[in-house]
Amino acid sequence: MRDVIASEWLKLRSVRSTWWALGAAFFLMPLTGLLIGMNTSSDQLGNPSYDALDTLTGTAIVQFAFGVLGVLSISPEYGTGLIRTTFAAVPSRSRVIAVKAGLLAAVFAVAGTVISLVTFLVGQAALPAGLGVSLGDPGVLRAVFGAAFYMVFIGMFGFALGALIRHTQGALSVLMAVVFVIMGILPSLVPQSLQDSVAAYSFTGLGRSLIVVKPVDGVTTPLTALVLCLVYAAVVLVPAFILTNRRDP
Amino acid sequence: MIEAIGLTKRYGEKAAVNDLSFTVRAGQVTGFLGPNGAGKSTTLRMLLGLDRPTSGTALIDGRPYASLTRPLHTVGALLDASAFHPGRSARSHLRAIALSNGIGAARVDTVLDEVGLSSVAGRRAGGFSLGMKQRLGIAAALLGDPQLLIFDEPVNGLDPEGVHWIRTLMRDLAARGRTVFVSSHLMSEMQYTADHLVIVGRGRLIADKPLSDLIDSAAGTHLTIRTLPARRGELAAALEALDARVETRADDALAVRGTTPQEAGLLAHHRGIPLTELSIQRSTLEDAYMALTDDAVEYRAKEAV
Repeated sequence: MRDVIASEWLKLRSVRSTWWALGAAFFLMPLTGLLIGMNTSSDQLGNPSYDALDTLTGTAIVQFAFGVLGVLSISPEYGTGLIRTTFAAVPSRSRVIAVKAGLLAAVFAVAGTVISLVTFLVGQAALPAGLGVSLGDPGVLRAVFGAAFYMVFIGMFGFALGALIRHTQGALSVLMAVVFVIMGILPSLVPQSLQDSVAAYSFTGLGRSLIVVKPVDGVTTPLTALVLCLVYAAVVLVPAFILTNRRDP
Repeated sequence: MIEAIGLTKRYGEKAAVNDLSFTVRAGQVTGFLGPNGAGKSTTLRMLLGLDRPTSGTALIDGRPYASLTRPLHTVGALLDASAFHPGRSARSHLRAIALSNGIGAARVDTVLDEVGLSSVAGRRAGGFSLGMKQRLGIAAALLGDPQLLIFDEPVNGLDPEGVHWIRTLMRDLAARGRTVFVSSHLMSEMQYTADHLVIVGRGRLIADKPLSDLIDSAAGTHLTIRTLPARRGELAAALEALDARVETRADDALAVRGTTPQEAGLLAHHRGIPLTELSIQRSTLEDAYMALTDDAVEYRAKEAV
């Protein structure tokens, strides 16, 4: 197991796409936090429903960096045929895919947490005086970790798509289709009465639920959002595991 | 030792590999020969535990591949020369494979040196020429210093220097007692490198014989005998009396099958017939292959479609 971890860790480190994706997230998310903070009017000072954690909504942008990195951490192995070398070197495919998934989740968790924290600090500093909150305030730490969790979720969703579809362009297209089209447009296609709940259960809705401190309309509770993310992830990860063992690479 | 026992792989109705059994022994180069689409690559993938056989078994030293721990120490394989991430350096590519089997960085450098890629080890493999890619693939196969080596079409698309290098490498490995199993659709190539041949067509075994037996058994091997035109009829009759089959060729030489140069030479001597040529025309592996597949009528008929 240790051998496989060392091998996969080197694979992840030794391609530029990993660093590009993480670098983009490290740059873009704090930048959005900064811009949102700077553009927030001090008029919000008296608004009881104003949520200072809005500065973390950059997750909606950087989620793609994580999703794409998830896809790219496995699909090129299928595209080039390297996966056969990998499975010939380690015949236990479950072990290979578990190590890949675990390692990637750990990288996403560390990167996501650091990015969220930095974004939080930048965003709060950029907010007009009196609007900011501190990490010790109720729900704030949970929201920061919520944003990190959402990035891990999207990253692993991408990984599962890559392992299922085994084709980089195909997996990236499906990722975009799911996040943008299905999750973005679906709410407007269902009857009016269902729109709010469907929107709340979309990826973006769940991402929002995970980072709000002051509940607003159209979001579910952070706990429900967490559970739903795990369900969505399982829907693609479980078949990815089963099919990796069953299909000829 | 590699064993295939009744290996069968079906994709729907079509059998890519059909009840294939053979054994690959140590200390020699065994060629795995057959036209494109004969099921060679599928067979190799089944040997490596990658493709699951529909039925039958593949064994490496008597065990299924999947039961090997750190298999690179037992079997090294080159399946596809472009099986690497184009953005990863040659060294990182090999080190990642090596790490998965507990092989150290020093061995990676040794192997890089062996295949002549040391000077470009830090470069991204995507920019490699076909010959360099092939060397990188072979380096990966050599990492665990395995007893068994499997190469799928290793000379495909290589320049003469690359072809020569791979031939020499395979001969060296076999000379050091390694088991080398190499697939090819090029008969001339196998004639240079293989000691033993496993020949397949349409997923079925056609022959499993030493190269020399295959060539000798082929109908193409014959003697070419020339004499003075006046004595030709007499010589032909005398040879036929020895049960040899004699044909007079367009260039007036006799093509003789079913006798040896010694027999024919002595016969001519005893009869006082002067010979101007007595030579053996060895058939090529290609002749042998054509003769073999001629027998498999169904195969040829379908191939022609």
